[in-house]
Amino acid sequence: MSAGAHAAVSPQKKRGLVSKVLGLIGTISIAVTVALVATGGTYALWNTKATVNASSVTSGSTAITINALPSFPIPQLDATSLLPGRSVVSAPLDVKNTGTTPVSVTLGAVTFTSPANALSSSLTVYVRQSATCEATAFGTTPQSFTTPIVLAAGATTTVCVEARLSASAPTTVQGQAATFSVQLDAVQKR
Amino acid sequence: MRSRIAAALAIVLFLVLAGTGVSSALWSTNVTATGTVVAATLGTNCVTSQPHLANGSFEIDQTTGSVTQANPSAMKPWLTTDVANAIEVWRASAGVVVPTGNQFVELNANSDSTLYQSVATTPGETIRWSLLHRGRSGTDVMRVTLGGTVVNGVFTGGVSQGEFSASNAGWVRHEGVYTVPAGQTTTLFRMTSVSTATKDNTIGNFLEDVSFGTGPCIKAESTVTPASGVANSGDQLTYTTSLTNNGGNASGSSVYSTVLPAGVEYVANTAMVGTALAGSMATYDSATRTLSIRLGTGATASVGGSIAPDQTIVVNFKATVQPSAAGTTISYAAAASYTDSFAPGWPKTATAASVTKDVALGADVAVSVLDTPNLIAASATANATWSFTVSNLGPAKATGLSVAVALPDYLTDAGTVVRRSTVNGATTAATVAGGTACSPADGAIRTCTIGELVSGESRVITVTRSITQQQKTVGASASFVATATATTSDPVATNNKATNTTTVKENTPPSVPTAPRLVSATLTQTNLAWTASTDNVGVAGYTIYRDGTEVGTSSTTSFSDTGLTSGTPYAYTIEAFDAAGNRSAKSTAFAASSAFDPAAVYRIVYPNATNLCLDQYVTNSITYVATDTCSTTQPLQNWRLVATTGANYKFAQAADTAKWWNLRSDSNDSGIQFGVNGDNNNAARATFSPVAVLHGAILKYTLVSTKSGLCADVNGQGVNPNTIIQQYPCNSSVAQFFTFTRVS
Repeated sequence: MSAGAHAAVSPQKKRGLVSKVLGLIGTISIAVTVALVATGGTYALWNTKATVNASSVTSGSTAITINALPSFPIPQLDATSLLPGRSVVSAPLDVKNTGTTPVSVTLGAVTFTSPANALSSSLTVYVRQSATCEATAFGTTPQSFTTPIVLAAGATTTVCVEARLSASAPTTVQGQAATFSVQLDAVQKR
Repeated sequence: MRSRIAAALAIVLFLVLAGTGVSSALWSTNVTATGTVVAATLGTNCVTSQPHLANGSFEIDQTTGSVTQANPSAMKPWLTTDVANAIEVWRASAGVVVPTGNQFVELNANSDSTLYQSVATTPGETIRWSLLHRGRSGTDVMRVTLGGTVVNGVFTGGVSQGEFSASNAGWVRHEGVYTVPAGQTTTLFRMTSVSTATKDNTIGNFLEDVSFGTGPCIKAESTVTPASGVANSGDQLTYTTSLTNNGGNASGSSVYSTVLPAGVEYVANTAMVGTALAGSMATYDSATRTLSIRLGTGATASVGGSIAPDQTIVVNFKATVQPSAAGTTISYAAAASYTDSFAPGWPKTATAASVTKDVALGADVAVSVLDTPNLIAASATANATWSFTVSNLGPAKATGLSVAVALPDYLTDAGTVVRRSTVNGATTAATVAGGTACSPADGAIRTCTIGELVSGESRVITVTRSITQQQKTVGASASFVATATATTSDPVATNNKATNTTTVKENTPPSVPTAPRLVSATLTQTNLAWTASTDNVGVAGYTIYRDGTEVGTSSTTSFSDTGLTSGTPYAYTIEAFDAAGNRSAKSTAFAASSAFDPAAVYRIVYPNATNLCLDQYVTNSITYVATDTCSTTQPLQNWRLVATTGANYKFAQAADTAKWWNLRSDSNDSGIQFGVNGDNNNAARATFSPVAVLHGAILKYTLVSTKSGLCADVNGQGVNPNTIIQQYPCNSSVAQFFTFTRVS
């Protein structure tokens, strides 16, 4: 999908244009500045006072995937049992901007989907941008990316997801399992 | 068409939002990644040896020489890809510290090479690997690779654990964790030289203390010695525990820590590690009864050390069986705590199976002094008797019991008689007299054979001797020592012997206490005092007698006699005694009265005549105090004593307390009569003090005027009714003695 076209629209004050506009925007991507007088769903007015700054607004579609999926289950993380202060790390994951506009990707929330237990309380999940993925050495705290990753439309980067068990994890975590979900947020890049 | 309309509406909405502000008009989305992780479980099966890398300290087939090149057959199971197929072994004499054992190896023997061995593994298990690395002439680099295969020294596959460097400044530990992949039942452990500081590939990369296994796993086994038979109270048991690391890695913070079972007490400073005393490595907390011994390489007085794979450490200590354990089984379960260096916060415990020891029931023969004679110099000569009690305080019957009595060397002839009772109880000498003589009849040691003594019973042993006057010099002493022995186990040896000693005391009594007197009194108490006695050594105290009966002792010159009846006279005597028990004669008896009860009514009797009491008598319109025939129905014979000050009272008519005795004149002359008129504005004439006196052996009272100091006196010692009372100098005549009878 191509990037959205930009079009400047002159202010107009005229009823009855909505259907034409809808017909137009139904076929092409468009960016306009309007003021919709929403007194009812039946009509709207173009705000004649508004001015479009064509460079300040974009439109299009945004979507990102991890390994081509909107929600990717990382395999084999539980193939290695965690000891205190140690990590397991995923293979490199492809994060792709499948939208039509550049996006800025930031690290969202980490949640534990399994019931809270001692293990989930002792785990920290990190995501970093890297072409290769190795567990961070014992004694070194893993790092997550903090600068938003900018992905052009159609572009791909690779990240690693690393789960670290606290060095002070209590003995009660032995043998426990925990399932986490880490979210990457993508915002349309201006 | 619908989709077009929907899309259009969405865009319109977007456009509206765009119109409200630039920054809020951007599209956003998100994506998630999910994963499941699992925490390791430390191994618990430590009974059998867990598969692990062998000969990690390169100790097999030690030879001499500081550096030698060994064929791998002498360093099994290690293999090498060295061009000369040699493993270069270094020893301490080469000048490099050997961290464990006596040998380590140099990876770069004759070429860049790989030193490796195959270890049995279980897919999915978490394996720790660890090694000590040191550069030889600078910083050397080596790589650890796990897994893969090898054919003719050529490796395929495997996972690099990284490249590691170490300088020649000291040993550096490299370590990591590896999870065995599915299907991999053996794992190649590979150490490969990467580079050397000198670029000479025959020099570099010292390696030592290599481990590859599923963590430390310690097995504990205990024994007790003597292993067979039944223990007796007082026996020392030796508890030995071997701790073997059946795991693949060294343990950390290894501490033998065991709570001693009830019935034994730790014998101080007996904890040993191997054949050496544990010293400061051992701590015994008597409060918790916990013996802790820090073990292993690097152990200190406060922290446990490490136990290498396949290493066994033996600890032992001694404990004494307590009397409380008699008849019980002592069960001991040794335990040791240790850590996996990869999970120090997850401590592990090795517990040995319990070992038990049965304890026999024991006796506890105890000898104590029953009585000691008090010998005073120059007192009448008589037989003196020393006695002992022999008891069985233990749970079991004592058998073969005998008591040996040792005599002073000047009393060993037949004049000293030693006997024992034949029945239970710490009874009198009379019982002993009916008992059995101990033997022989003379000699320094007399043996009393008792035989059996059941639990809780006792016997008495007496030593009787006539002490001559010559032997009773002050300070001379006689000691008799009784010692019991039995064939039964007797764990408490400290009470098997007693010494009965008498020292002859001086015989000078203290002087007689003088000036005994009443100081004050209450309704139920007299407070007495006297002048101190003297003694050649010192007065130890005084004994107080009331009406001939001892009522107490005092270490001072005063005494309070309590529990008395109000308005009652008592006769007291005082006796002094010294530390030797010498006693003075009793003091002169003296009378003292408790206070009169103002709530009581008394009849005042004149005992010189038959049945005369003091009454109110009116003649010539004057009311006197006079004698009259005692009558229980005559209220005018009833008097109430109203206290004024000190021991002084007003004698009030019980029926009319506004009227009381009153001297009929201010004169202090003899012959002033007693009236019953109230105080006539002169209270001094109306107060009298009833003073207890001994008239012969009879306690009576005199009634003394507070004003004149003269005594109430029955005129002419009259024995007829209506004899008027007058004041007269106190003269201890029968005319001045009265008694009080309480009527209510």
